[in-house]
Amino acid sequence: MTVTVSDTVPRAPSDDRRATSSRGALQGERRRLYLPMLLPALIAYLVFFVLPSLFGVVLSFAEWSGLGTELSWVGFANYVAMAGSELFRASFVQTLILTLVVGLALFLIAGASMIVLRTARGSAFIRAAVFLPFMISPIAVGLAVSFLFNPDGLINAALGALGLTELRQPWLAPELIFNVIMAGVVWSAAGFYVVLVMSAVDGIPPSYYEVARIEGASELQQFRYVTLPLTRDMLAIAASLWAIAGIKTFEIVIAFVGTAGTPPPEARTLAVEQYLRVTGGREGGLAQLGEAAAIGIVMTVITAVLIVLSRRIQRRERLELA
Amino acid sequence: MRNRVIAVATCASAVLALGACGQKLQDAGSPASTGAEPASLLYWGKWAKGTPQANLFESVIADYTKQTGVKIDVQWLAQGQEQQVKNAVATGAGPDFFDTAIDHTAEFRNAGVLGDMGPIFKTKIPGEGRSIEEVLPKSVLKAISDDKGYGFVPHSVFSIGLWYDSAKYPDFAPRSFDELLEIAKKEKASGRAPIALDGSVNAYNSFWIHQMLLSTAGPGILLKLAEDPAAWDLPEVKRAAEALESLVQAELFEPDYMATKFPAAQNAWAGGKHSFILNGSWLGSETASLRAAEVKPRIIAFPPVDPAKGSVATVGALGWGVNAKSRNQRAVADFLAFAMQKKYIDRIATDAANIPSRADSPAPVELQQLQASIRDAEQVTLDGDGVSTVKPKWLADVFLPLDDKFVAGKLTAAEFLAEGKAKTAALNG
Repeated sequence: MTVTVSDTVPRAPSDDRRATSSRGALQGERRRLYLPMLLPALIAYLVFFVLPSLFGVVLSFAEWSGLGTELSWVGFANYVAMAGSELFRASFVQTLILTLVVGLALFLIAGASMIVLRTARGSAFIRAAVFLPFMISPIAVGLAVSFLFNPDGLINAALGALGLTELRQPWLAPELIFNVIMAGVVWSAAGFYVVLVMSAVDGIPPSYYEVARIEGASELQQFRYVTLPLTRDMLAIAASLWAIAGIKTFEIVIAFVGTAGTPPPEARTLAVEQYLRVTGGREGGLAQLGEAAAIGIVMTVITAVLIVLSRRIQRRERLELA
Repeated sequence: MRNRVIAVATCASAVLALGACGQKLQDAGSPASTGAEPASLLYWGKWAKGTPQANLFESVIADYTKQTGVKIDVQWLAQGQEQQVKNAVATGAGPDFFDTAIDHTAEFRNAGVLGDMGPIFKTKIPGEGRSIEEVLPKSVLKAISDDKGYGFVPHSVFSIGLWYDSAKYPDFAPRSFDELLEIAKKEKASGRAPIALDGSVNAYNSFWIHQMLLSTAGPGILLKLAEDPAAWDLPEVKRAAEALESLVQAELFEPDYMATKFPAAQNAWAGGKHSFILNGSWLGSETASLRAAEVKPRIIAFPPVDPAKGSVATVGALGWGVNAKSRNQRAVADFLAFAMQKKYIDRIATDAANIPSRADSPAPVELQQLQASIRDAEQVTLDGDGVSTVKPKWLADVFLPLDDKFVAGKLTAAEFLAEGKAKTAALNG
């Protein structure tokens, strides 16, 4: 880098004053431009996000079925009805179970991939292969499910062919379907999180691992003392993204149970329960938008809590690469 | 100066906005207010373009335009069409007429979409000298009506019944549920699973108890169960529940029927793997492409649990609703009367393989026994007694989950009745 004289020679006080005055003018001009430049984005944010969100909050205290119907205030009745509903409680618990169990599975898969894929041959191919299910549409997943998990589908046929007939199960029956859905979510989402955390691992200088190896660190120790501390931020982001995605789990449930019937209570998530309220639930076949909005508020609160918790768990002193 | 510019801009925006609204409203037809024939009508269909019904209605529209000069602008909206109709009509726009079905009448009524359809039903069908009302069977007219009158002009009728293979059972005509049970038990003894059921579709599971309840307790029983917990104690309800319990305990459904991925079971039935399936009249056309060559499907009304009681037919219908706010009511009535001509409604059977709404239009051969049952039924009711529109929360939160457990064999008849009563009481407060 070249250091010029003008960089090192102190300026005369008059020059400073002139510079300060011109900087002040520039800042003033900038300040005048802030509002006009910011206004379109602010208006868009206000109109397309803040107002609809506020409307959702307001709606959760009302009973309304959409345009052309009367809106009436019901106070906390929608929340009270939710608390008293066996189906809502079941969907609430199932959503939490799905978010935590699948989240743990994703964390373990991501951790394993951080150890294995860093040095594995054909790492790029494996990443692409693992990422593929994330790109498949839920409709295609649903079709695949019909071939795989139907009572006379491939899974049971394979178990039968292997002589493991006692392991054959009615996989899509109400008592098992939620476990199958969770397995499906792991299969579908793992690739995204593996790619996400591996992008952070790729940023770690190889010399760190060389030093660790010279010091006699095993693969697991390298993960514990090098990889994990230096990817903590990305893991926190991944955890937050999963908290949001997990609470909103919807289409894969529909893909698994199909659209011909209402998903059984054992398979419902909060988003599915919300969908059922939106698509009719009030007398006259009209939507229960108030209850649906209340479920939406609950989902938002849980998501926020999970994000805060994941950030707190991950909160450490920031480490930076030299 | 700046204020003046803003004022001019605001006025210009308002004018443009109002102009746009005016244009939108005009699309839904305005000239009738002046008494003149409209140049065009707007029709929002639910069928996907290219389906047999869409093709049929497009050809009817082409004939009508050729004959009258009135253009009909048809838009096939497929899924979500009902919501679009409600939203559009609520904002003062929307089509002149639209596709609807029996289970949407209540929501369209509540949203103010439907008006008095009486005058439309009195319109004479060209070349036939009879009105729309006069060519429809009484059972169908009753089914499409609510306390405010007719909900829509029906072109197709559907019902729920027992499908069987007439190649295997040429003289199949069980007079009672017990006779059906015996036939199915014999088939099971020969090593076949007699009855197909996609148990993952809770509506299909509910067909069983509803058909049994209809024959013991009559139409409207599901509504009674939804409204009055004491109805669960009725002996007629107990008899139907015990009939279903005997069917489940005899293990006559296909193995693992609660875990099938729809439409696996109905496809297996079409392929000849099972002999019977309780389903809608639409199933024949829905599975036609998968049908085994040796299978000859037929559908009959479900054999009654109590043959001493009068016959009850489950009737559903598809047809055309008319926007109450359309200013072209007379022109729409003219078109609908044109479309209800026998030559067109016959094609509901020949082109779309469904039961035509007119009494004198024959159904496809596999549906003819069911069509006769609908025509001759002493009483009619809607699918599920129409409870999905009147008591949807009870249906979704109480009845269907409970019925699923009962059909799965996880509850006895006594437990089903006791839990149904308790949960209905809890929901109704």
